[in-house]
Amino acid sequence: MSRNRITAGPRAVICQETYLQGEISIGAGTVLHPQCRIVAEKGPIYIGKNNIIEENVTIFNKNASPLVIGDENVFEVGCYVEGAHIGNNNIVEARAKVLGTTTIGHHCIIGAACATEVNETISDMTVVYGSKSNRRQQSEVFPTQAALHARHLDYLRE
Amino acid sequence: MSAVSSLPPFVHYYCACPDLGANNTTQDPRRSPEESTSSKKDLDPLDEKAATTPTSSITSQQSQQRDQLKDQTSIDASATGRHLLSTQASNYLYPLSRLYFCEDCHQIRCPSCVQDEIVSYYCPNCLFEVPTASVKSEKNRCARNCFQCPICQNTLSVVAAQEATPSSTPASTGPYFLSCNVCRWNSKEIDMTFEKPTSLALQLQKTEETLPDAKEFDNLKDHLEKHLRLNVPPTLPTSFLSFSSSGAFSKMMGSHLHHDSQSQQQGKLDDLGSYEPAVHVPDDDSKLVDNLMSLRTVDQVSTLTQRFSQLHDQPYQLNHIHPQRIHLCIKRSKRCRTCRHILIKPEQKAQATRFKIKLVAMNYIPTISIVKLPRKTWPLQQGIPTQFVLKFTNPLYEEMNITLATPQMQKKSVLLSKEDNKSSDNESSDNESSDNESSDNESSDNDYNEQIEGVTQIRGKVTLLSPHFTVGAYNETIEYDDEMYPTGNMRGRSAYGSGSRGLSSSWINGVHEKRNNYTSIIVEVIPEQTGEFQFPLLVTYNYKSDEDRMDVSSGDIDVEDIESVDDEGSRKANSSMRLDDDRIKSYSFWCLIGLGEVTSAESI
Repeated sequence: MSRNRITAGPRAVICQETYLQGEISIGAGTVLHPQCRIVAEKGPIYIGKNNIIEENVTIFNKNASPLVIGDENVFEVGCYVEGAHIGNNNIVEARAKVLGTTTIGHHCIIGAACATEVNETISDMTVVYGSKSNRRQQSEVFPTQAALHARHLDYLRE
Repeated sequence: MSAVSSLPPFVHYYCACPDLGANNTTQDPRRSPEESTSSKKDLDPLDEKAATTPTSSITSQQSQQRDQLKDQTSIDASATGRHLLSTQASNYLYPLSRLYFCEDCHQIRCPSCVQDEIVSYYCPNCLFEVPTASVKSEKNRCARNCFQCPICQNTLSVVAAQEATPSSTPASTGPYFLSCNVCRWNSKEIDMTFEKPTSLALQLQKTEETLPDAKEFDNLKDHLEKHLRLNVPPTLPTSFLSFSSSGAFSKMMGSHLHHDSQSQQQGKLDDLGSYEPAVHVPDDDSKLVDNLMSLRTVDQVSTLTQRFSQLHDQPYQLNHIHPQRIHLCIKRSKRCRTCRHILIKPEQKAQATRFKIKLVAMNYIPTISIVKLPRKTWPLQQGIPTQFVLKFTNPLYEEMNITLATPQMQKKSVLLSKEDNKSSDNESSDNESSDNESSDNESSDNDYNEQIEGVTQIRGKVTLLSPHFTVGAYNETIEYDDEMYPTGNMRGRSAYGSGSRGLSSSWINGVHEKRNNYTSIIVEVIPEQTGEFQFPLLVTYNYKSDEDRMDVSSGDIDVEDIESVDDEGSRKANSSMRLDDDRIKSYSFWCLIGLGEVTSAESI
């Protein structure tokens, strides 16, 4: 039984070909590209402000508890997100996977084609990268990224 | 599931690398077994059926007679192709994508038997072509802004510290630093910043020169140079061709030899003196050990790959590893060793991926691929006859006839006779490998033969349903045309559009399907043992090549000499009569076809 209850904040852009199911709340200014799928199967999904969710992204909530996604995140093409709680200013790169009930902090980067393990906690400012395995590393500086994100959002809204 | 996917089916071609140093063909790989591993390359240059040494488990107390017998059986093994199954032959087996073909020698060339020459050096990041003269001075690395991330070895990009906002100056000023897009490392973590965004290597060079090793090296060089100037040994001239007469040559050689003994007698080497290191490199090994012992996390310790990028000090601490300049790559041209003909020649520019000369085997020898028939059991199971299709694609503009042969099977106690082997190659031998009761029993060395057979035996039976067939010619319209070209299978059937293919029910010639420029034949295998199933196949093809066409109008031949021209010969109808010098070109090669793993019949 999925009752489709979708609420969207002001200035949010939701394209027509998206697939939304379940109870979803989308914050202000968030942009959903076409062909993305947000499925709140067992529990609700709350998406924060100013996120960018690109094509072919699947955000899935298999757990009964709500999946909370913070602000200013970028979900790049083709990624797969389950997880329990995702913080702010994260980047989930193309074809990455966030599995199970993992929790992601703030300012993290899950690199392209990387996957997290089921039920893991990724602390703030971590970078997950690496071709075969996932290696972590702390990063420090982000001055340009916030500006880039704002410009990205402006560009999409035009 | 099973581990079958780890052994995919393949078709590998065997290159009979000719050995240019072999002066005595009879002596070849059959020396003592201690040299067996090194003499792998000594192959009979005349015969393209290469012989490899038998397994090296033979003890070294060999009589001469045993050597001769080994000669004989090795030749026998090679003639039947079973040597392809040995592990030593895997050095000479390549997929078609890696083989070249020399037109002059009319033979396959593999990566081992071509000679490489360097065409140009370029940086893989900025694609800048470095002139050969400055390669050595830049230590084979890129002289511009290309650096390698110390953590993940990806390319670093140059980033300005401050964003260019409309209020500030148009050009983004401020210190520049390097940052990695993959692991998000940046050079601020090791306090490395630059003033200008270009020629970073130059800016780094100044700091590199102050390193203790560089200073020490310079000091050493100065000290030894003084010594070198005193007694310089006469160096050999670069080329002996510069000598005008034999007298001058012997004089030079005499003085060279004479001088060495003289200098040792005079003890001029004592002048070297003691050398004091000018720069003292602090020995902090004990400090390093203390550091390592008190580690709480392993994050700050570098991995081997990271350490190897900085060979002069190889630090354990991650923040001592600096970004290195990127190594240059080369473009190579390949040349046939026997006739010195260039086989591959790339373009000089780094951005260009095409080739000026490209003589690859794919354009000369038929491409063999394996096709699975529907409703057939796969993966192979022991004891169950399975059929599959081998597809031969003809790249030439002429029709070719192909003859296939497989090595003969034999029982364990029986040797192959010489007569059978010699006839196996040149004729279109329909070698259906049933149990072949060939030959007489040679009495000696039965256990030795069993050792050979244990290694090089085909693990099953292979039957070729049609070992002799033709493949049509290639022409450009095939790419655009879906219609089938007429085949021999279609007699008695009306050809209706593209629906009429040679179906598997038409086993007239055993040919499964024959279309534009490819022919598929059916092969049946009955694997008898588990494990990977491979079998060698000898492919002989011949085609009519119309080179050296003599033209009447140019006066090469007289009009009276022209006999009747066949219809096939005069393909191009011209006003002037042409006499085609039809030469039938023939070539044969071995290939090894692997069909993956055979599971036992019980595990279904």
